[in-house]
Amino acid sequence: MQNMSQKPKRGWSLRDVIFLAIIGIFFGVIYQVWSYAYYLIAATPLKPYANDLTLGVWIMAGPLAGVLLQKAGATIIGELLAAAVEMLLFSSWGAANLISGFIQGLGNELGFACTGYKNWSKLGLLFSTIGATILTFVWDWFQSGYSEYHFGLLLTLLIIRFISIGFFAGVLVYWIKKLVLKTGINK
Amino acid sequence: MGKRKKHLNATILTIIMLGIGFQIAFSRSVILNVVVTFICLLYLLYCQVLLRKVLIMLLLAFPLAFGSWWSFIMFGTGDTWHSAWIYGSRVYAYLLLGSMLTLTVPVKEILISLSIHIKLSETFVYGLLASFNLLPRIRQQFKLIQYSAQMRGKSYRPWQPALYLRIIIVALHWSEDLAEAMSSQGFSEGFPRTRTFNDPLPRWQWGFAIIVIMLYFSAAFLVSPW
Amino acid sequence: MRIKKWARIVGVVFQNSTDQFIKLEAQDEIALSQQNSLQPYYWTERRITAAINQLNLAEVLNHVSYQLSGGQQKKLQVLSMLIMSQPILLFDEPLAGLDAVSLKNVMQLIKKTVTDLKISSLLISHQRVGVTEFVDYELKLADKSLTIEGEVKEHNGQA
Repeated sequence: MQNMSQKPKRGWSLRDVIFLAIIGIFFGVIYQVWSYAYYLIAATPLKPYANDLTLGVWIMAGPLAGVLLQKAGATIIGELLAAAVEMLLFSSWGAANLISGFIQGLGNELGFACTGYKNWSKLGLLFSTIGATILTFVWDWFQSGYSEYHFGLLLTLLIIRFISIGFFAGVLVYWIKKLVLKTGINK
Repeated sequence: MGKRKKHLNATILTIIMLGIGFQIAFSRSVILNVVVTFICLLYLLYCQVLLRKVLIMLLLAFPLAFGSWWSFIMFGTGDTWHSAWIYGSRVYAYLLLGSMLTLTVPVKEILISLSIHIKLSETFVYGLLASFNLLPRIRQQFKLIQYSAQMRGKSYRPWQPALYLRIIIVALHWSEDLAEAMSSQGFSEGFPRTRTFNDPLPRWQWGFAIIVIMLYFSAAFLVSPW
Repeated sequence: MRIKKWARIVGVVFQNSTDQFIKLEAQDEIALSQQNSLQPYYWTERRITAAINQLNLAEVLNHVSYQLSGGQQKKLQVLSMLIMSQPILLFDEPLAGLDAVSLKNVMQLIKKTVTDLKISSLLISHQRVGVTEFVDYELKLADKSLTIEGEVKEHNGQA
């Protein structure tokens, strides 16, 4: 996978940007298909459950970019690109897309940073999902008013959130990476 | 861009959007949310955004705002009514704040404006722009990927890694082709290019952005109305 | 749901080979078609093995489809879709990158299958040499107009 980007570890080539943007647009298309389910639940008091249950899908783009490009900053930039795509092509939420994209990307990025950007496999992904769970929860504490919910609900939400992020942004990303490696298409 | 001379520059709108958007998360005021919503709404009208478009957007967001509102009535602690109204109205504050940028300036101008005024890397700006042109093809390709599986008696679900492998393969091929095409058309990374249009940003608008953000800060955290 | 129904009626061999593959290895690709074939009684183990040999794919069965040569990918695509045997099969440039021998084998296999199973098929190709002898009708797209080039052979449902 090392060579999936042609440029040195830090620089960003035009191809990297387009590659991640195209993936971001595909994600946007997938979200559109899925968002009806979210929308139905989100119109009821179960909205916080809907948020936490689907969160993992929303933040997959970051860690996926991380494990594919394997360089510092790839995760947060991948997530920000996906958020920019979402904001510019698919919705009019603007600030909300970008700021939460940043928070989510930062959480994932910190996880990989904890391994010194050395582990892009199970351990890195584990840290990354923990980082994302904590940071997004803190953000929702303020932004979505989680500080006002009673303790039982909060605990449930935290667990649901970790499962969702753990599966989509952890296990699934790991599976995808393994599959990509098997195809040998990393030119 | 001449027609929109009297409008705020896309860079300024982005800064205001992020500057206030970030603070909204920490403010606990229904009144301020409503004020933000209305000022943005007025700006949309001033920019002559199609009324129908705005109405549809407001309507579509209603279930989300209602869900937030209701969840605090059900699961909230303390002053549940106040919380319910804060977080219900916050949905609209965010929505209108965002649409002030996304509904009044075309995507291309937003990105180019950011590259000129806050030096957003041109590799990113032009990379994004080029990819955005692929949107219809990407939608088509997504259908094709689904059909390819259905022809064989299978269906891709969002939790199956195989679906993402297909997406990654397409993204790899297309990004390579596109980047190559752009390079051969003379796009060289890291070099200044000749601009085909300019994006005026009068100095007063910078001042305006700072004042608006400061005003919000003092209103939200010093005055903090209900 | 409607699209799902179409997918059981119309099969397509895509122009771009990587658009076709669902599995990783060539043998899994064939096995998937065998498993879900709409003509399971026709596609017996023996017939499939014969087709694999005819297309000279036996040696690459355990290779990853994405790493096969362009011609091998084309043959794998064609075989996978022939085994699926939808009542209508569309072939979009299935002969690209094939040498003369492979081309003949592919065309023979297509011809035999669609005749045996009464499949209606449409084949789009840039080249005519070695192809026209296998088709019933030929349509020619030139100068923005589509013309019938006449019956190439007796009519039995294919074009």
